[in-house]
Amino acid sequence: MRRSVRTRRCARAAAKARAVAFAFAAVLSLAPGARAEIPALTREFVTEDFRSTPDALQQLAQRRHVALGIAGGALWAGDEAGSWQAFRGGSPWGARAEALASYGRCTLGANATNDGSRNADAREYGQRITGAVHVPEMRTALTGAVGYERWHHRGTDLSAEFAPIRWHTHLRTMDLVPNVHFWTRYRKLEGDDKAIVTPAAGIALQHFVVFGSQPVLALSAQSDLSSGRTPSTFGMFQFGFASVPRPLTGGGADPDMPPAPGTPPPSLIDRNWFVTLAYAAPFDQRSSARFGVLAGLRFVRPYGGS
Amino acid sequence: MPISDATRAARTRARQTLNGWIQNKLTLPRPVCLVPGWRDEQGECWSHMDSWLKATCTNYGADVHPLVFVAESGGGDPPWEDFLDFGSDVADYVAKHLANDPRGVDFVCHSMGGLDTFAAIALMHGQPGITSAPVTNAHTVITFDTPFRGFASASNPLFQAFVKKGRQDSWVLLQLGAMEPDSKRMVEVGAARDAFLGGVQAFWPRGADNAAGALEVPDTSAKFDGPNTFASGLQPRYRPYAVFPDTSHSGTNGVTHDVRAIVETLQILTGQKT
Repeated sequence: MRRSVRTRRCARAAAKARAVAFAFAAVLSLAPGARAEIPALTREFVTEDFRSTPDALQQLAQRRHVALGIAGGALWAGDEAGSWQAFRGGSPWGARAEALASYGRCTLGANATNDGSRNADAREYGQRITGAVHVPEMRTALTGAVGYERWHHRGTDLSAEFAPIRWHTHLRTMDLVPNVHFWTRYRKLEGDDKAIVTPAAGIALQHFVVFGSQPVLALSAQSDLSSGRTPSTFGMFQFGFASVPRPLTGGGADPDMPPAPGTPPPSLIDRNWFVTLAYAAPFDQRSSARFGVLAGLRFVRPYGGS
Repeated sequence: MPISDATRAARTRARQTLNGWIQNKLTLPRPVCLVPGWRDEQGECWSHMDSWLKATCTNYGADVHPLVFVAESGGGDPPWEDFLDFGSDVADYVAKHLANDPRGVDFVCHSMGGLDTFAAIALMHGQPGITSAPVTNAHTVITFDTPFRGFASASNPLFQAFVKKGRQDSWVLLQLGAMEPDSKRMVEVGAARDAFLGGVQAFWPRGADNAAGALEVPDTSAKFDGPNTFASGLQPRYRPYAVFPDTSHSGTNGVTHDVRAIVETLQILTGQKT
């Protein structure tokens, strides 16, 4: 009798813990707001700014903007397990749309991805609602996501991006300091009683001479770990380039110069184009190679505040 | 990462602020010298900053001095060895035009221009061949991505080849060599840091987004190692170092062209930001 009571208590505690975890994820989904997540084939390689100087924290607190991104491109996936050959037949065309709203440390977002007939980005949900909180003082950004995909899976994610380690290479004739990034994602898929934990690490160059942060080069690796299952691991190379944003309308030939008489004022919405390329190669026999190239437009508008 | 949404939103707000100042103009409390970097940069780095000063300041014509270095013959680039020689030019200019101004003088400097100004304030004494009197009435000094501790690419063969490609004389390589981290001139700069900070009322070091990646001027160099490396009595004159995310040292993304940097510079110069 006492034993059964103890068991029921344990079950209640476990149910409570699950409820708290889901509530946390749900709250994050309602409040989040970051683009920074574990690398994926159809996402640009974007990371958070973890500077926590008084100046940077003040700017973070004043952050108020909405953004919309749309992209289209081609996505391939191999059908040979373990092979690094990504190009196989089938329609490769895919697209992605993303919208988000940031308020200080929090961001709410939603995105939809069609990853082509080969389902090249199978680890990602077709549709998601995301929420993120950025806590640079704790060197962490958390993102919660509720995902849905009609023919595949649906579930809930909680992922964390950690402040990068700056690798000072100490070259005598060049100041080369790659960022070493770390992420972790906890995923609970509907109908699967086991969670999937995905640790990831990457090395990236995100600043270049003259071009600043327009280009990005990144190498990463991630592994899906689940109790009682064999891990599935792959590495990924990503390259991205984005144009310098300009006001959608107005502002003259150079919107960062004083306007000539008669020039319409610059729009509050800015726009730019971007391209992103990714190649993922399996490190074991449990997945196949994938390749994607997307081009798109992004629009950002501040709101409120000063 | 690509240029962040936060940067984009902040730039849009900065454009609004600057356009607002065209309607409600500002007045500079002191004369301002805009000091360019490379001896043949000829002020290109100030194309945006200078235009906004002109558009927003009531006393632009009287009090803004965009400096351009020219050879003694009156044209072309001066055959100077390093930033000490350019600093001598800055000191001579101030002595001739601004030394008697009771308001003092402010400096806004890009890259090597910060070292030119540093030299004009703190390195004019006891230098062979230098007869200029140091600047003694400097008030505010703002530096953008100045390599106070040098930068490693100064001795990079590829970078040197790039530099030589567009320049027809050897002086420029001497100037570059003076900015290698272990050069004699850099040692002099380090040793004179307190003389410099003691010679100004406020020092605002600013950097490009140069914490990680393939860098031009590392953070530690642009911020002159930080306030704790100066004499404790002088540290209040050192304003907290800040960078402008998603900018580079020069070019289209150059930090001096960034509208956020231009807004902040005007806020500092007019006393809105202290």
